This record gives sequence, structure tokens and C-alpha cells, in this order.
Amino acid sequence: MWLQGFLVALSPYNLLFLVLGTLYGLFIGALPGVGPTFGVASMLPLTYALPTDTAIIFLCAIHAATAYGDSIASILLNTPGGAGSVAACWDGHPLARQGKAGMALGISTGGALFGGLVGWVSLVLISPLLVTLALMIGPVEYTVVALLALSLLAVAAQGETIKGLILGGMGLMVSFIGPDPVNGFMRFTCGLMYLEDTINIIPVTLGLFALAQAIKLATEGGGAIAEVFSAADRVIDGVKEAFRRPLTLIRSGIIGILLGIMPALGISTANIVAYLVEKRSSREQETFGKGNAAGLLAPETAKSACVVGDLVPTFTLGIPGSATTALFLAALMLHGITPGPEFFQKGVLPYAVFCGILLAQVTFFFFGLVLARYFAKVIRIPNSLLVPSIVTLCFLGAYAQRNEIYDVLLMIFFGVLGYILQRRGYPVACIVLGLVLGQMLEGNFHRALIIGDGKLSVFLTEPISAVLLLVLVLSLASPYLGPLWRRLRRSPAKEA
Amino acid sequence: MRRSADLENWVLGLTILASGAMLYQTFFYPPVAAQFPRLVSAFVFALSAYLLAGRLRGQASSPRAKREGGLAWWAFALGLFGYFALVLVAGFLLATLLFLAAIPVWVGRTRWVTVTVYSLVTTALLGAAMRWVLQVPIPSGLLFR
Repeated sequence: MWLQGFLVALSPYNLLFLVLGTLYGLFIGALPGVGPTFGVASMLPLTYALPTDTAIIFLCAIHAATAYGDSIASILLNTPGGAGSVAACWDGHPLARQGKAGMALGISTGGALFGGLVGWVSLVLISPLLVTLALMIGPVEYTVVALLALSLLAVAAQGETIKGLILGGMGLMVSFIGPDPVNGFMRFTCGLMYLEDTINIIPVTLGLFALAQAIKLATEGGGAIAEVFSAADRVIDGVKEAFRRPLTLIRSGIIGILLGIMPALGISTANIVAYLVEKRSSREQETFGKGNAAGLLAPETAKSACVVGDLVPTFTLGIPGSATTALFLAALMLHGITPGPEFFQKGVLPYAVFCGILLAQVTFFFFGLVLARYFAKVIRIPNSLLVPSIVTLCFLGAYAQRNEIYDVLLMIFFGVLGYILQRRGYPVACIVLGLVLGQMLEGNFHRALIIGDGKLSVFLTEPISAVLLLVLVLSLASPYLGPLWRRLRRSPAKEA
Repeated sequence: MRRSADLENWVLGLTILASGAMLYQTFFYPPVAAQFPRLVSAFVFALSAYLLAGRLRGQASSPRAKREGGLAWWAFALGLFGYFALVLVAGFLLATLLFLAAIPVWVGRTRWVTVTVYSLVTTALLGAAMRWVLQVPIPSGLLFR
């Protein structure tokens, strides 16, 4: 099956989209402030016209290349290309200031390759185990796992848990519009025919991530970049430097995989945790923040490992690990495939997809090695030309799937809403997760009630479900437990 | 900051309205169709009301936020709706041509050659992508129907 999978992944059509996805991902990644979620969301509508294996390989190539390409802006501009490249600024930009921008890009490239390969190995080894687990759980457990994923994403929103829960609930509310998943009863359509077909996820994601980003770029008044360092020195020297540090590579790779597999803890956490762990383990801690190669290598390796590790819960359990993988879920559902055990019963498809993911790691490494210094020039494109292009691309994407002009209006609405919410610290990824999980969650909820004779107590009487509910409650309470514990400890000390 | 806070209150208010309306509507639906939406909308209603109440209680007056540069977001948002309306009336190609020329000029880019070439080339590429790659009918608008 693996050989067949490789042959399918290596077909000329799939290779073409692998290369196109990588080049597009590198272009998008090089733009400051635009990350993998935008890259995947902007191309999601196009995948509707593609075969399933090509679609997933294309999106994986974009995802991997954008996450890697994000480092270009971090290193050259000291502006994170995305949330996953924050730590790359700390030692990457100082290296660029020392005239070693090419080496810094090379370190990033080498680390990204190793992280991607290690992440792929974990995907291949862990997926069968999780699929076995998925077959053991039923509607009751699935309901709680989906709620847990939503709550973890809300908790990961750094102090904005309530906002995250509200948005997750909003996403679920949007998913209720249209026929209910059990009996097909039409709900909340307000008599509009457009709403009778359920809310299309593509305009929502395009609006929230791509159009909102365009509004942000338009309002930032950008265009002139004061200081950019060119990558005149050799990128390959940086790659060699990366592979001279095997301990850093392995340690960061493991961190990336672990954080990727856990829902809601994505690349934004992985790169920072890996940096802090590397700094703590180093004998030259005082050089971190001043151009230490390990300080750049660690977050880049962890980020790439996490990008692939993120796909594990998505493909095996149907529970997205992040906003970007929620889009992968949407792509699979667009092709009529329910992620989870069903995905692994589709013959050669899962093998072709996994082989495509492996090829994506190699492809972005090759193009990064050869073209990184040229893609770096992308950061000079003024926002006044970039923003209208992004807007018209979004219009095209929203319209193309159903030839429905009101999908474009929906996209604009969510774009404006997404911009307003993001500016005020709301984690908009929760809306997408709620929308993607909504129908599945409601269907499993009703099946769970049938199993429990209509009683909600079924979620407490099933042991796995009860444990997961406890984890859910603890995760929601965790932001408040720390301060409470500290206050309790201080009170006896004061009395003394 | 004050202006920003007011807008957030409006968003929360609209969320309360939407969830309240959904909650109310569930009482007219059969039990199976209503059960889960009722739980979720009640949850969102309660959380939003709690957050809004907290914000209104704790809100102090603060100086108006200064716009950092570029377009005002609301002006750009209106521009997006205007583009949509133009697509309905004049069709996708003409609307896109005008939009791609208008935004750079609006932001302050005055090299007409660059703007014109950019607008023409990008519109042509998008039209070709719709016609031959995605094979999607290009909206022609009311004027050219």
C-alpha cells in the first residue's frame, strides 16, 4: 500500500500541485503578518475542483511552506511572519544584523526539514494507534472530545477564555442554520432560500482569516520598509550549521511533535517553548537573543514538527488541532470524507496523502535552499498593491465554489467581523472550529442521548466520557486555579 | 481606547441579541431539532451578557484612539461592500478593474502607469483563472445581462 501511495503521490498531476503549493506557500509565508492559516484558507476554494488526494497534498504543501516561509520576515524584518515565527525574531534578526542573513535562512531551512521529517515519522507511527482508539469510542465520547477541543482552543487564547468560548458557541450557532443533522428539519433560515443549504464554510474562513488580514494590512498604512537585510551570504552554510547540532534538532523535534498532537497547542506555543527549553539547556545562555544559532534552530525545528504533528488528531480523530487543520477538515468534508477511522478505510488515499506530506517537506527544503533569498524580496511589495489583490482573490474564492454571489457578501460580513474581533483580542479560530465541528457534534450528541435514554447523565456514567469531562472542566478552570492557589498560599503566610 | 471599547460592547450586544433570538426560536421547533441549539444559544447568551455586564461596570473614560496610518477600517469595509454592489451592477471584470485602480490611488499611490498596468494585468489573470482554470461563469452584472 505504501508503494502504491508513493506512486500516486508522485503522479505528474500531484507533483505539479505539490510544487505550486510550495511556491505559493513560500510567497505567502514571506509576507509579514500573514501566516499558514491565510495561505490554506485562500486556496481552500480551489481544492473543490481537485481530486481528494491532490487537494490534501496541495494544502499540506502550502501549510508546510508557509510555516517555513514565515521565518523570512522574522529574520530580515524582525516582524514575525506568523504566530509560529515569533521566536525566530529573537536570534534570527540579530544574525541578519551581523551580515549573516543567508546563514540564518539556512539554519531555518535545515531545522524546518528535520522537524518536518520527524513530524512525518510521528504521523505514520502514531496514527494507527489513535485510529484503534477512535474505533473504541462511540458517540458519547466523540461529543465530549469535540467539546474538549473547543474548550482547549478557548483556553489557549491566553487569558481570553470566555471570549474563546463565546466565539466557539457562535461558530456552533452558525452551523445550526439550515437542516438539522438528525431529521433534516429546517432551522433559523428566516425564510431565506440561501440559508436553507447550511452556511458554507469557505466564505466564513476566507472572511475571518484572509479578508480580515487584508483589512489589517490596508489600515496599517504600510509600504515603506526602513531597513531590510539582504541574504547575500550562503544559505547552504546555514543548513550545514543546523546539522552540526543534533541534540538541538532532536530535542526541539520532540517538543514540536508533542505540542502538535495535543489539540489547540499549535505552532504559536511550540516555537516559544522550544526556544525557552533550548536556552535553559545551553551553556551559553547569555548569547541567546544576540544571534545564537541554536536560538534560531530550536524554534524552527519545533515549528515544522508541530505543523505535521497537528495533522495527527485531524486525520485520526477528526478533531482539528488548530485553525489551520480545521481547514483541512473542511477540505476533507468538501470531498465527502469524514476524517477519523473512515479516512483510513479509503484504500490507497491515506497512504498517498502521507507520502505527499513527506514529499512536501523535501520540496519546501529544496525551494527554500535555492530560492529563499529571492522570496525575501516579496517583503518589498507595498500594501497598496498587495491588499486589493488579496481582496479580489478572496472574492474569487468565495464565489467559485457554488457560483453563489451571496457567498461573497457572507465573506465580507465575516471579514469585517473577524477584523473587529481580532483587534480586540478575540480568538477567531474558535468560530471556525465551532462551525466545522457543529454538525458532527450535534449528530453525536443526539446519538448519545438515544444511548442514554434521553438523559444527559450518560456523559457522566460512561467512564471515558466522565474522565474527558473532568479534563474539560479542569482545563476551563486552569487559568483561574493558579491565582487562586497563590492567594490561598499567601493567606496562611500573612496570618503567621 | 474608548472608541474601541464601545465597538466591542456593540459586538457583544449583537451577540446577545442573536443568541437570544435563536433561543426564542427553538421553542417553536420539535424537541430533537431544538435541544442542542437551545443549550448552545443559552450558553452564549449567558456568557456574552456576563462579559458585557463586566465591561460596562468596569469601563472608565479614556482618550480616543489615534488611527495609526493607512485607511480607516470602516472606510475600507464600506469600500468592500461598494465593490460587491459594483459587481452586481457592472459585473466582476469591470468592478475588479475599477477596484484594483481605486485602492492604490486612495492610499496615495499616484504613479498612474503602475496602477493602470497592475489593474489591467491582475484583472486579466483573475478572469482567465475563472474562465479556464476554475471554469466558473464570470458574473456579468445587471448592466451587461
